[in-house]
Amino acid sequence: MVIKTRNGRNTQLWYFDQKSKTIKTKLNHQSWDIQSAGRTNNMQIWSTNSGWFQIFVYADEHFCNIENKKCLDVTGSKDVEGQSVQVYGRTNNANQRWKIIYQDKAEKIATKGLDKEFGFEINRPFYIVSNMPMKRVAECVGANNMILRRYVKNRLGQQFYFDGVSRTIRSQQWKNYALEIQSNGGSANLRMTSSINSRWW
Amino acid sequence: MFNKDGAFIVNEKGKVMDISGGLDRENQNIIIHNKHGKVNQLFDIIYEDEWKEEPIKGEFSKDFGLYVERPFYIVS
Repeated sequence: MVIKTRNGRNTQLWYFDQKSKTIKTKLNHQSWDIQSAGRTNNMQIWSTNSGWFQIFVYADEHFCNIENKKCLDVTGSKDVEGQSVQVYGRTNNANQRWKIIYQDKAEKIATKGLDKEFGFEINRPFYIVSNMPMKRVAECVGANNMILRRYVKNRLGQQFYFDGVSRTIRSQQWKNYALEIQSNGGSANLRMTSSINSRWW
Repeated sequence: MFNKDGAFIVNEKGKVMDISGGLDRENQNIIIHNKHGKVNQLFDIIYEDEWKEEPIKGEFSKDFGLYVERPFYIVS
């Protein structure tokens, strides 16, 4: 189990099953499960058996196991894409606090309009125009590095858009590619990547 | 992940989009760099549906204050 930006997929949707007393995924209807029948802190999704290691109670913003009282916990308190979720002794810290938003009450994921946090209009193609005298624009060539080029009408490699789900800058030409800093942020190179993980780089 | 912060395109570590070496030429690499605020780090986001084509012959260039390809004298 990991944390990720909301994307509306069934991998992020859960429900409480009264019959088994477990929390199940909408993906394949298996249950939350502390790995190795509760002998570890690892969380997984597993075939439903209603063992104590599959039963959790939600109270005071915590999901606590009914037997060992360990709580659902973002490992290392790291609020990053793909960070693992485990169980751990209660600390009352923010990494153990969860809010429930029922699907029928959840706001729809925005498909247009300004993302105020990021400053871009969602899904609206744009050019990145240098303020240098020639007013050249950014272009991604071959879904790779970003370079500076003169504007060419309707050249999709010069057009980008902000994806409101992954909150990344995408290429209009290679829509499955997002802008990133190469080497997990360890390089100066800017490039487009198909490995979109919404991490800081 | 990048934010638009004024004329900067910045990530959460504070690094910004930067035209390598400050060279305004074709095929120059665009990289990420510490923020220094010079013009090679400043960009406008212009949405495709608001893009204005460059002025053509006889039209006024607002950026340069001159008409395109319209002969003129410079009179003291």
